[in-house]
Amino acid sequence: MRKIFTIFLACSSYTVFAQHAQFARVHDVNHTRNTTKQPATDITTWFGRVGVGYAFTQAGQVNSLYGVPYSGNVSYDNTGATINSFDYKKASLNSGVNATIAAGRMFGPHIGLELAAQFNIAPASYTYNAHNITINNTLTDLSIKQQGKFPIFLIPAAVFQTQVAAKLQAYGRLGLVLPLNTKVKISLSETDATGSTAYTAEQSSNFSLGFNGALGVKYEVGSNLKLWFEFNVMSLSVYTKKEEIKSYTDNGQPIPLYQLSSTSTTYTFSGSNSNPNNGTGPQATSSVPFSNAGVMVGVSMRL
Amino acid sequence: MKKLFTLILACGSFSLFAQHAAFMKTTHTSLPPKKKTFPNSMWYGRVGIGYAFAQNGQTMSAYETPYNGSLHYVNNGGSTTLGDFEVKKASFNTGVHAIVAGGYMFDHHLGLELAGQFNIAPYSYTSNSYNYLTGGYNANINILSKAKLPIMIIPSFVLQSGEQGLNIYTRIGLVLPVNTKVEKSYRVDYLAGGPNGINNKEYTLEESSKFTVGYTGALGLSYKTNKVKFWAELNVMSLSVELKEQKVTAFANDGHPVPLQYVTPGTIEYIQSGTYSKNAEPTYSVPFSYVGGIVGLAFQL
Repeated sequence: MRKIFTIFLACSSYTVFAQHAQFARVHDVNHTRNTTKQPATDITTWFGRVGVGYAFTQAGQVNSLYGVPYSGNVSYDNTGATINSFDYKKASLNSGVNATIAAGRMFGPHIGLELAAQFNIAPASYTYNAHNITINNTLTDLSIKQQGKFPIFLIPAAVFQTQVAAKLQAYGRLGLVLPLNTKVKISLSETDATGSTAYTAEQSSNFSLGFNGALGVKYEVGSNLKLWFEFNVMSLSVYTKKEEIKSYTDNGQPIPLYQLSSTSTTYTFSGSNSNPNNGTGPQATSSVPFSNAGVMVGVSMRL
Repeated sequence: MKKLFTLILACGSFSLFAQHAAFMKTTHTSLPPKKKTFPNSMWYGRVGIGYAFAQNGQTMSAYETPYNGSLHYVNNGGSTTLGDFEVKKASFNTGVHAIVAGGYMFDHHLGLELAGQFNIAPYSYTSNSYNYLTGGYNANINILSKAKLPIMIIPSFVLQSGEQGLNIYTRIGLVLPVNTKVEKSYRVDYLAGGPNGINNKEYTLEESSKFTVGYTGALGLSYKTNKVKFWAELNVMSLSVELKEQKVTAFANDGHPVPLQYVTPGTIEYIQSGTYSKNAEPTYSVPFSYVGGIVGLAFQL
């Protein structure tokens, strides 16, 4: 049903944009002749833009797989049975420094289409520390660090803009988010009375469609150049597909991966553990938060 | 920091609209009078109804319990491990939505709107855990979860390609949740008798959440006739709230109601940080994001 809505919207939008372009061609010739409101450079033109900004966790999650928090601390008592104190925070693996590069076409003075690529060039990392947690009947200090591994998204969007002052335009953008890379790096370490183990792993996810919106202003600094500033949001959760161990150490000594009984775990929406007692079958998937709200600045130019 | 950004956005918007109003005044007074088929600035109202699907939803709540799905556990010595499972995405704002809004267009392209959105028929989710080990007893656990008339206030910006005939528009705004309560029916059936020889327990719970700001966007088509405007849109909402409190509103042992003063704990507070107790537990996120389609009418006020 959601796919039908998306297809319907895409088809309708195409029709409207085509109609609008035709209408604007006729209307705006007269419009620009009669008023100085809209610079002629914005009517039916190709444009490019680049920008950089920072995104904060929005609509994030507290817990990851198996109810383990992404970020925070917990301390159990000496029996490992009772939590003395905890401090958990929300997380989104797409928080951090984002860069964007985009190109698009305006079909008149007010609406256009754009295709952007967004890169999280410095993703925020989240650490969960548990003191005296019981693992395999042993009191353990556990630390798990998770960080997005250079998340990349393609964002086709509809653009709306209007003149608000001589050189100032307000604009809005709404589009789909097609995640190209949502891998997550995991570093886990466990220390108990007998020693310590640690591993690094990489978690990949199923493809999920998200949504992106922005509201901003553009200021004309030259005939073909504009500075822009925007507030943007992304709504996206992906679902864990696979976790693969990349390195493993036992008391600081590297262990070759072939010596491990298993180096990967698959996660699915439904499944059956053929041998549940050894826990090697597929596990129930869990959502991984990539939503954010952020600000971005940049320049756009007429192509 | 996020609050600061929201404040900056609000102040920036105010200044922008003030500039826009001044700009329009100057521009339009310098133009020759046009035949007005529709005023440049206008107040309007709109109503609509539609359906929303889970988007950006979660599969699990805290404590490995799915919002929507089933888990079958198998005995493994003194404990149990997961056998067959099926989990689905969930969002408590899924269901039938109705919207009432009023707004002001500063010209044919830019406006501000305030909407009230009501989920008049929220979707209910069922979670079943079979042979789950709880308090040392094997039991089947059934949880039915459903939001209790979610209400959101949505101030937003409106941008549209034009006013007459067929047009395309977008709306981007904040979501201020007014009601995000969730009702749960929680039933435990002990497979071989439970504590004190009880065979089943039934709870009715009400969960409330902390206030959290979300975001919404819409992309739609509108068609204006002489009197009204028809519109159809795809809209999305990005919102997760954090659980604040869970209250037992009814309880029964083996079908016999138990007065609430004997239910311990009757209320659990969910907090981000603090000391764990039977009345205080770590909070977790509750999904309210969705993607939906909605149709309706708009009219000049």
